[in-house]
Amino acid sequence: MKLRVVIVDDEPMARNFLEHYCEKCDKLQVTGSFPSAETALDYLKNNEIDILFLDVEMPGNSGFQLMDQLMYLPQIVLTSAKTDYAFEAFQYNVADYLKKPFTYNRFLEAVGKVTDAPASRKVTNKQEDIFIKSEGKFTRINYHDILYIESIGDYVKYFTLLKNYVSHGTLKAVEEKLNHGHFMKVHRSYIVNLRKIKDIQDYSLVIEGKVIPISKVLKSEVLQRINIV
Amino acid sequence: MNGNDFAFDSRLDTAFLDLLYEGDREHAARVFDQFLKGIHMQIKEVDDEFASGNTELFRRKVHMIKPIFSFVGLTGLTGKAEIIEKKCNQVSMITDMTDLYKDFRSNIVEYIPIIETELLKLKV
Repeated sequence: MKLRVVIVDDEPMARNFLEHYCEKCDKLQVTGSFPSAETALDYLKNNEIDILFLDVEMPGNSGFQLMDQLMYLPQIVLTSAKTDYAFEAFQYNVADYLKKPFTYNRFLEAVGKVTDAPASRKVTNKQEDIFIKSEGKFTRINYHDILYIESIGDYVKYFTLLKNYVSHGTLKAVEEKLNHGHFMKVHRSYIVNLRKIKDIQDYSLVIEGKVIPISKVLKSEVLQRINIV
Repeated sequence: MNGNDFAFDSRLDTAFLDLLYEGDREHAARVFDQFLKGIHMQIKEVDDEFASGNTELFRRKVHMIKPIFSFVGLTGLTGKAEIIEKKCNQVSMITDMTDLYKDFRSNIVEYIPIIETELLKLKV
């Protein structure tokens, strides 16, 4: 039985190249090919597939945001014209990372990694919650509820829409433990949930009315990580 | 190119093209054809973003077209696109890249006739 493949890439030539490579490979059958994360989402929610060849940087949602929206992940092979996303790729536990353009042999190597993997379909194993020690107890907070985290001396303060939590620790320690692609340190005193940013202007951003500074050295990285249409 | 004794123009990255197509002349012809059909529109879109002055949107367009040059053996242009993409994160105004972008644009225009000739050769 052939492995079912879906391709998501905004660049038509890159998409056609992958389709051609899949046709050449006896093991694979392309069941869908989409120019954006948005157009692929419904298909991926309703159809079981084995391999997803996924571009990272696309207009609209990125490849990582598409993965975040799926309850189940097939084996993922990221395809990108740059290698800057290696860290996120590692976090998402992708099977391989192909830098475009790539040869058929390199493509086959990636397919080999996928077919050697133990299961073609698995539940996403990204942890969605963290426990924060605050007010003498451990409280569970969902990552998606956190707006931003501020460093205040020897403490860090977690801001959510409903409540704020103060916990002993450093921002550096929080940064190391935050195993989620939506968070980024934008300033020595702030980690923000990138999905909660309302505005960015010059060297500051706004989340729920709070103006948060962006350090000069991190500005370009922030712009790269958010989706600008 | 192996198999059919096809030799790409030496001004292109022939070693990379041989690896990419492995003698599949038909596939190479399809890709060269697709490149030529799309390149003018894609360059116009990049030009428009440059003219708009929005560095991040310009960078995204450059990022999008970056790999397509390599598909037709213009690996040097992919390299130049990469330099522009990185530069976008360093400049304060898009006009700081005017010379760099002009050079890139004129290179594309220079190479298009070579790609057209290669397509004709591939179709024979």
